[in-house]
Amino acid sequence: MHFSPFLLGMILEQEAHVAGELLLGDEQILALIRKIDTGDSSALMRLYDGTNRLIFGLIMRVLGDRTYAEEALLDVYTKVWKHSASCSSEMPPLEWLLTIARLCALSQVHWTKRDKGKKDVPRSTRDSAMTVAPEQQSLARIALDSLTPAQKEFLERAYYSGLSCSEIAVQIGKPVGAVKTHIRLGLSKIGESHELATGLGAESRDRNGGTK
Amino acid sequence: MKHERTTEELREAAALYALGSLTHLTQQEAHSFENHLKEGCSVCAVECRKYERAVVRIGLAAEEAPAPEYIRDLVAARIEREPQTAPPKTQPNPPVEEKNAREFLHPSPAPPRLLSQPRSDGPSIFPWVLAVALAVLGLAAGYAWKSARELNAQLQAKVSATQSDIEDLKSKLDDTKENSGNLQRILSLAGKPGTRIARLVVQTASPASSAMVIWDTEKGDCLVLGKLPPEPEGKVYQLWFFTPVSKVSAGSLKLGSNGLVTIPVPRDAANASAAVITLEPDNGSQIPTSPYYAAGRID
Repeated sequence: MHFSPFLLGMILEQEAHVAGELLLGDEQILALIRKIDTGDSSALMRLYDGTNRLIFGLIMRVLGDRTYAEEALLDVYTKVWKHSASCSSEMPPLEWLLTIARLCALSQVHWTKRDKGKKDVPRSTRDSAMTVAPEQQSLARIALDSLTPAQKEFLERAYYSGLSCSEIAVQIGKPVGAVKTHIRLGLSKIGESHELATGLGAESRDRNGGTK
Repeated sequence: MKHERTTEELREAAALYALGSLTHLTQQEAHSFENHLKEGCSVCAVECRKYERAVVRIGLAAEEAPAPEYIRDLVAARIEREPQTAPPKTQPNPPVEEKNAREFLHPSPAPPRLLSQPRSDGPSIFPWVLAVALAVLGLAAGYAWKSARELNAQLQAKVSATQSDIEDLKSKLDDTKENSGNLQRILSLAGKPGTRIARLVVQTASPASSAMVIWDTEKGDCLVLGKLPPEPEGKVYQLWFFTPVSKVSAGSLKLGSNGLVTIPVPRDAANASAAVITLEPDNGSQIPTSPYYAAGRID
């Protein structure tokens, strides 16, 4: 999907606005993780304060149960505390954090033997606010909304439920090959959208004199 | 075998591997692709990296949800007792996705922890809690022992004071009993028929001095009562009975602590009409040698 210049302009303006509110971005998160790596517990609490809403939202989407989600949230930040040194330059820190969160939540699914197919989060628990790297969150939502319904459904089933292609195929009554193709195409489209947006975002920042 | 360019098949394997869905299809597929990456196929590694970043976008699009306030306290409490893990120095860190994916896809058989369950690998606070509890108990016991000792000392002092008071009262009671007995004796003697009494008037300027002689003619002795000053060095008081023809000595006079003394009356003093006290040398005299100290007529 290609974003219109108007839409991207709005996104970048929003980013500049929220930056003034000291919301965490990749740079701030990385700086906090480096402090955590030196044993600074206050840095971990600042990271928690800045990211817990996003992480809890993701975990709730995976688990659909507040009790298990709270346990998983606790595990996420404990893992960050214990393994902060493993946050390398190969992966942006926010992605590293989200990966840990997803795997902690799916681990809860595995150990509690919860039904993978029934984890839709009630609307009342969700929040449309974006408190961490709002530009990236906006782009991710736009990219996901740009997928076809089948691509989005299969990707979300695989991502949030930890279902395999064969399990998804059984659930929806379609061939495994079709599921694989939809997942690959969906991921490719998200990747392209991200590359395009970040490239245009960089160009826009360059035009504005590199204010960020 | 390393690839020179990507294909649809490779992209699909990389996409499913990045999502973690490949291993669920067949273990063999997953291990095969993982080994292929380890062999250093840069084409597949790039594809895999691209899809991994796309996978993370899905999570980033999740709607946020407010976590309960108390979780923050639990996080703070947990990291207090969790040691940090040092990164291995012999080889570079594997991407966290791979590590966590392996952990998730091949989980250890350990059961999940509950919120209330403490970690077994972290330092326990129990010994500290126990040490503090013992210290508090020790201080409390020491304080209680000290208080009990002070209370015991106070009680012992009270008992001692009470015993002293009892002894004092007992002594006073004995004195009172003695005084009462003496008084009874004096009254009994004074009311007895044939008793003669002489009230001795002190001749010198000694207003505090006084004496009386109560003579029991039936028994032949006399009770002397009074209050005399201590004798001068080398002198004694001596009692005399004066008859019309002689001055008969009744011997030295030494009053007891109760102011009384009983002295035998010589036979030749039977018709005495006066009683006299003089101060004589300490071995006594045959006749009065000094001025009369006290004298009185015998009625």
